[in-house]
Amino acid sequence: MSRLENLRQRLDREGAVRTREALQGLDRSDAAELLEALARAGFERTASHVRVPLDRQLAALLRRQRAVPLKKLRAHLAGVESAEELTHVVEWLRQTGALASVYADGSEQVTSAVDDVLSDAELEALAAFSEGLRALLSRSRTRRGTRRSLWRDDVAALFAQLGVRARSFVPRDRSVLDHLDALHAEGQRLVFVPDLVRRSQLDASEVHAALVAAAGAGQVELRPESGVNTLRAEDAALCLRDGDVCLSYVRRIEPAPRG
Amino acid sequence: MSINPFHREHADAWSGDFVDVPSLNREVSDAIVEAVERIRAGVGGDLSALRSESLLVLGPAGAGKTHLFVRLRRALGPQAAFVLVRPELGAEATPRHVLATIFDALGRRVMASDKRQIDVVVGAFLARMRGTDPRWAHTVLEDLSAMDEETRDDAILDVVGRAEDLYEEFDASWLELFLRAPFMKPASRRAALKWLSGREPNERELRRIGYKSELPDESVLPALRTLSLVASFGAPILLVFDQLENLVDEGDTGRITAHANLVAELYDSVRGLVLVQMALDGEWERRIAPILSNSQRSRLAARVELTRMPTVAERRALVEAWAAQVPAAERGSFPWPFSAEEWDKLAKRPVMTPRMLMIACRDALAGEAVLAPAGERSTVDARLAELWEEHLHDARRRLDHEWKEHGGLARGSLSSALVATLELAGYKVQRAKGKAKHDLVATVAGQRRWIYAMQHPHPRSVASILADALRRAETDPVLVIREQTLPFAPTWKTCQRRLAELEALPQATWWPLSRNEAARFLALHDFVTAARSQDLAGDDGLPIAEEVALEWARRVLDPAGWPFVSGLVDPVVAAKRPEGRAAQPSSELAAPGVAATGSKASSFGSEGPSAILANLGLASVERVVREVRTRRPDATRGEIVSALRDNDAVQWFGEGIVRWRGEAP
Repeated sequence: MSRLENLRQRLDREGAVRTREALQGLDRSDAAELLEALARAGFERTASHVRVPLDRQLAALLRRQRAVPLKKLRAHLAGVESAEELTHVVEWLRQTGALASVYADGSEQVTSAVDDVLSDAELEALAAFSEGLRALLSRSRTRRGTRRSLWRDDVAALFAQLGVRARSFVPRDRSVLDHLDALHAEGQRLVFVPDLVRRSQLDASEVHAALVAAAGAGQVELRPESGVNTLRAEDAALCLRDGDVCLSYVRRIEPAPRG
Repeated sequence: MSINPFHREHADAWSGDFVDVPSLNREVSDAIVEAVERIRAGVGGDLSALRSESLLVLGPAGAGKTHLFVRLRRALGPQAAFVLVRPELGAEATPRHVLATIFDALGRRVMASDKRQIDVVVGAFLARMRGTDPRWAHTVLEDLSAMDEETRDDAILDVVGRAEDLYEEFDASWLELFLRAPFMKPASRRAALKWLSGREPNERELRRIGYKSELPDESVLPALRTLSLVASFGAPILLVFDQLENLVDEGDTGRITAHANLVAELYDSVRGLVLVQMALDGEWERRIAPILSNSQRSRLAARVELTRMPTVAERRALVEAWAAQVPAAERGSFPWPFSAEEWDKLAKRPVMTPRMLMIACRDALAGEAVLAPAGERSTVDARLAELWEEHLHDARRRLDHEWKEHGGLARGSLSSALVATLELAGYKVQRAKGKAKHDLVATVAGQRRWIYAMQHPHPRSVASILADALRRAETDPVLVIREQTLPFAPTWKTCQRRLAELEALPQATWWPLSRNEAARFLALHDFVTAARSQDLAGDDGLPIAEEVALEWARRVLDPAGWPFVSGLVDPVVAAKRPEGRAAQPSSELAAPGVAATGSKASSFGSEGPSAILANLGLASVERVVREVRTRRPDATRGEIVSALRDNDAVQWFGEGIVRWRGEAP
């Protein structure tokens, strides 16, 4: 195998090789010929390295990982000469739309899954929504610290700016518990889990997850089915299960925290 | 291991043996205790303002509803009189049935005391009316016992008079006999209590207390009102209707409505009762509550309490409390009998009833997988066979108790047991309503068969039943059944004649019921109702589905093949059954054509009553019965008495004493 081929394989594997090491033992003209051949093969030379260009290294990295924290990017790439050089590459890729910066898990990350992140336009809409929501909520508070409610239509109009319909303005668990409270308030001592699922308009699995969490927190009590052959198949499908035990009823045992 | 506390997955309501975690369902027991205390406090004021209290307790199977009853017995002790009523499949609940059940319960002892509930009720009332603290009930009874009869009667009449002045709803004549009963001689007391309870006394019993007939229908409710008011002076009656789910009949809401009407009537017209109803929550919500009218619901469910699932801390407390029953040398420290890993899994399960937890303990102690999923059919079958044996054992004990207390099974209990058996055998059964003489009508191959559970102790009632059966047998097949332990007396000439006439009719079947048959009927009734109440728990701690239990009973117990059921289908089979006519009441008492030839009575051999009496020389009939039963547990009293009467070497002194006048053994 020729020296050029050896070096190409090593670069593909390692991303970069020190120039001194790559040219060791070659006279000046052979060294110039080898560097030219590497350049023709798409590798680039920096002050100290021969390397796979950084944009190609970065693309390969983001094919392997969905996102990489920006601060750790240099450690994942080989033959980087300086932080500025890396910033320049990232910015260039971002401008071409091949890469996006995203904030997640407490840090800035880069990703090539650009369709999975909000576009600039969407971010602007969200910011406008946030501003509108802030303004609305500020009107719901009085100086004495008490709270006034808001018209559902006003809040729904705000959601409409985002092009989405607001089904519920509370977190999932709170929503399920609110429906549970409402059914209790209608006179149901024990709430039939299928009734709760239907009322909440959420997926059964979402309601079940909320109920299990609330049971763990001591807010509700789940109860095993005790009817004798009276559970219809369509209801049984909406009940929670714990192994062989069908949990068909739930009741509040502690009021949910408000506010 | 000397004690295994993990075999008590079904609480015994009358047990004195009790392991408790007080925080579990404290709200429910507190609510009931408060209701009792309100009644006790209300007696101090205007009696016409005193009302009854009503609570509904709902919970899934195994959550501790029956356990609550035992806890309350311990918590309240003599401050309440406890009564437990469970629906019978063949009988609608009536005020008379409630009155009789209350008296049965009043005969039981107060928890951790040698006093009977009835003595506490009477003693506390007498104490209050004589201006003493009701806590001195027993002392007051002793004082009155020490008086001569005339002085005591005067004292009781004085109390009755004061009670009438206090409140006009007291039924004075009933009250007088009730207050006198504790001071009577045992035979007279039994007779009095039977009459007071609304049961039918026999002729001798009526003579003893000077009455000519049972408590009339129109006197039953006033008797209940009087009894409840009397009890509220010291020990209010806590009337617990358990297992309401057994009121549910497919396609027939009559029993639910009848029960609701009864409870509403008690709530409205009887003062000072604490009515507690217990049911499976799912059955109440879906099958019982929707049938009730608003007015019924407002009375039955005036206040609703839900049993609670044990928290993780309570689960731990339960395991520790049960384990503490085992001697220290034989148990480990918590989480014994579980491994740490098993306990971790049990603690993390979202739901765990006390019954599931106890079964898990039992599994762990036996070294088996804890709460393993329901297994193959053979495993479930084995468990059901085990449960059936338990029910059979309990049924035999109950028969002994009923025989001792009342001379035989109540008519309603027998007809309920027949309903369970016939329905399981696949027959449609209609229950009689009101004051009908017959009890059931079974439809067999499109033809109706009228069934009479003729358990009546008085010849007038027996003759009346037989007359109705005779009339009916002219057109339809009839079957008259009566326990062998209830023989006809020699003086019951009309009964004997009518029975003979009945037997001569081709469409009539006379069925003397042996102890074994009665035990199976009773056991099957309780097995069926336990299946409905989800009280038959499998090895996984979960209730065995009703349809699985009933399918097993049909397949393995084969009630359709039991002689009584076969006899119902084909009266020819009944006439030929080996123990049929032979199991008749004593031959010399029986009607013509019902001789005791070939009977068990003549097949006792060297273990028989004659051989035993020959050894004893002179003995009470009861002693002979007891001796025979130690050797032949399946022998009935009727068979033993019959064998004695058949033997000319036995000399009778009245009804109770016999002497051997034959050759010495």
